[in-house]
Amino acid sequence: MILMKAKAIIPVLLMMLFCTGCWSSREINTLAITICLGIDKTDEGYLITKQVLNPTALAMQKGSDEDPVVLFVQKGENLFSALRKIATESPRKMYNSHVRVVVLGENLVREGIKGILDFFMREHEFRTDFYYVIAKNTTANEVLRIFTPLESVPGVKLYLSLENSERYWGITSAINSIDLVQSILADGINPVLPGIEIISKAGYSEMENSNDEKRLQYTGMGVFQEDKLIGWLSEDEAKGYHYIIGDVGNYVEQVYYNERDQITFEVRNSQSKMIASCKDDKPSVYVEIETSLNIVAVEGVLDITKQENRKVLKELLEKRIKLFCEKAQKKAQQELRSDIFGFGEVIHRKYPKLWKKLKESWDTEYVKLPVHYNITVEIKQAGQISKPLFMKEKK
Amino acid sequence: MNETKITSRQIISLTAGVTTAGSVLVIGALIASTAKQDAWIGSFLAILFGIPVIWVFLFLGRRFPRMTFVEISRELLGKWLGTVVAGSFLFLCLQISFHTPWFMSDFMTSQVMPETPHYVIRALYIAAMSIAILYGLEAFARASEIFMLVVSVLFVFVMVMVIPNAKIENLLPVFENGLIPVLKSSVFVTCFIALPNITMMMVYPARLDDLNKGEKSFLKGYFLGGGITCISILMSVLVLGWAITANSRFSVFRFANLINVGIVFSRIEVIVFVVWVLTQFIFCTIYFYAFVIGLSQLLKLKNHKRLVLPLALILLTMSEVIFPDVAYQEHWAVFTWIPYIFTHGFVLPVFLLMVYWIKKRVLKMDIGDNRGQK
Repeated sequence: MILMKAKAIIPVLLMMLFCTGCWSSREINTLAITICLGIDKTDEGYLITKQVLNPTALAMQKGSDEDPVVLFVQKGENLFSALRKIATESPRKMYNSHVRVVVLGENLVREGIKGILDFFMREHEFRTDFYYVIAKNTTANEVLRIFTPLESVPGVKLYLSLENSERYWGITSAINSIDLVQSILADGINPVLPGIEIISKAGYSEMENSNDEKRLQYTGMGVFQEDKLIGWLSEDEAKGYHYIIGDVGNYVEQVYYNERDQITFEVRNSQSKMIASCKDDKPSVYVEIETSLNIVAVEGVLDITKQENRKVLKELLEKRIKLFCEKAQKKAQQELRSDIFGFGEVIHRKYPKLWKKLKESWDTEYVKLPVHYNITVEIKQAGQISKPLFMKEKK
Repeated sequence: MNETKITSRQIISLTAGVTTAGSVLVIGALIASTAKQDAWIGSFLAILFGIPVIWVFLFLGRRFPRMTFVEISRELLGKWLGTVVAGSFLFLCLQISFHTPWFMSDFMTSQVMPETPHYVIRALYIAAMSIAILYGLEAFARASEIFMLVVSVLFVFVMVMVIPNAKIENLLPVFENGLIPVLKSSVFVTCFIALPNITMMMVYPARLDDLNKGEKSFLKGYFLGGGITCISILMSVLVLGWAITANSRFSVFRFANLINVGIVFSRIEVIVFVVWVLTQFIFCTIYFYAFVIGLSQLLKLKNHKRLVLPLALILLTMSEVIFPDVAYQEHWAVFTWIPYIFTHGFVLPVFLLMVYWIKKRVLKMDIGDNRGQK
């Protein structure tokens, strides 16, 4: 009996040898979690700036002397060697699966980002769900050196404020690897990426942290020709761009009825449809935009409950949105000559045969492409009061 | 005879496993590079193309309800030619049973655990396979039932979760390059989903308890497996677009990366990995089992289980050296595998069928294993 039991125990013991978990398992306290990655181009190659979480500082709720993140900077001839070289100064193994944002220096982006994208798509540790932003007029290194208020980890700040500004300000869009690669690969669309800028304002100097005079702010969108940055959309143009592609978020819109009366709206929902049409092999694109807005403030005495006034407001809004769209279109079409709206893809989808002819010369065809707008505006709600509070009733 | 029998439900799970495993992660790239955005149409057509193939298997099975594929070919083609044909078929089984561990370890080391040595993963995998065969077909078939249940649930879960990332524009324009590339791609897919089921002929009629139900189950399993493959290709194109799908080695794994529903359901791509491991296990074990059984029938051995351990060692060694690198494997999958499985999975059974008809109708010989229909 004892022998039988001993025999049964041996396989169990052997099994334990195989149940020790992953071969290359690492405990969390041996990892350095990268939250944000900045890439710049220098004469010798790439300059990498890595923001790594500092767990001891984060664990202490307040009053810590340590910074919440640690920066690592390295140069290398290529991306991978620069990333690996960080091992020479970091005691912990870098862990890249939690990267939230990749900041690309403007110099680098002007030279093209195909090589970088290939690396991010190939390397197994990088996922595809982080966002790309461009450091406008500066380097990624500068951007990552700025400490941010409210959110103690700057990388997380970049990520959250990008998502917030996409939702509530509507001039940026969060773009991940898949979107970016798709729009570089497709013939009839060029990518855009949000830009981030360092701003300094006098009002911030009250803060205790000496670095706090500078803040980071998303401004406009960078326009690409294939994988190279060729120009910037201003804030208004970026707005128009987002109206055209139907991704505005809860943007704020205001119109002047006359000198005194300013009405402010919040965009509740804005959708667009791009429809290609074709006459004698000449393509054109119709953009249908449907926007619904809520009134959030009325300055002045305009009676917004009256039908005819609402009608006028609608017309004003339609004009205003059309103006933004045309601005964006003009900039992209005439000045930058880059099809960021994907009009080419719209034609491709509907007229694949025509597209075969157009494809080669799309860059020149695109400049001549007529675009028509059809904008419908609906004013949905007017908040908690109906007429303006201080309007005098005529008796 | 005191042979183990499996139920028709278990045939469903085994067939579905074999159908899915050859394809679910790997052929996305192949089919998307040929058929572009119409890849999903190609894969749906492939299921239809596979039906006549499955019908041939079922027809042979009905004529010889007590025989395995090796025995059928010996019965029809005589001792010498039959042995050669059966041997060639068994070599296919052997080859696939050491290819699959290679695929496994390649996927594991390139996507999940880059620092684990290949041979550790392969050794564990082959050990699990050998244990499954030593326990016998019945135990393994029961396990496969549970596996396919888990696989189906997880698969549906992943596909539902990824829907917010899908863009319908990625499928347009339909038939941009005409029908030819689509048909071409669907022939490829047929080679990966329907033809590998030839190996089921070592199990399907001989070890089945109820033939009439079994035929339906075979088809059901085929449709289940084919459906999983189709939906995974459709979702790859919807989420990633054809260009990235064509360039990704494991496209399903890649799009599962993007799942982020609420905050709770994110970073769950390892689920895809579970689906892959379980179906591969069913697939590979069936092939290995077919080889072991077939070899013992060919050599007239009494106990096939004695072959398992020495053959497992051969698998371990061969899986190490079979493909020198990834580029070679990708080339092999297109230029070697397709003609290879086509001759063994389609030409061979059709040939046997013709021989059967000639012998029965022209030569009026009393042929067929009708002991079951007395």
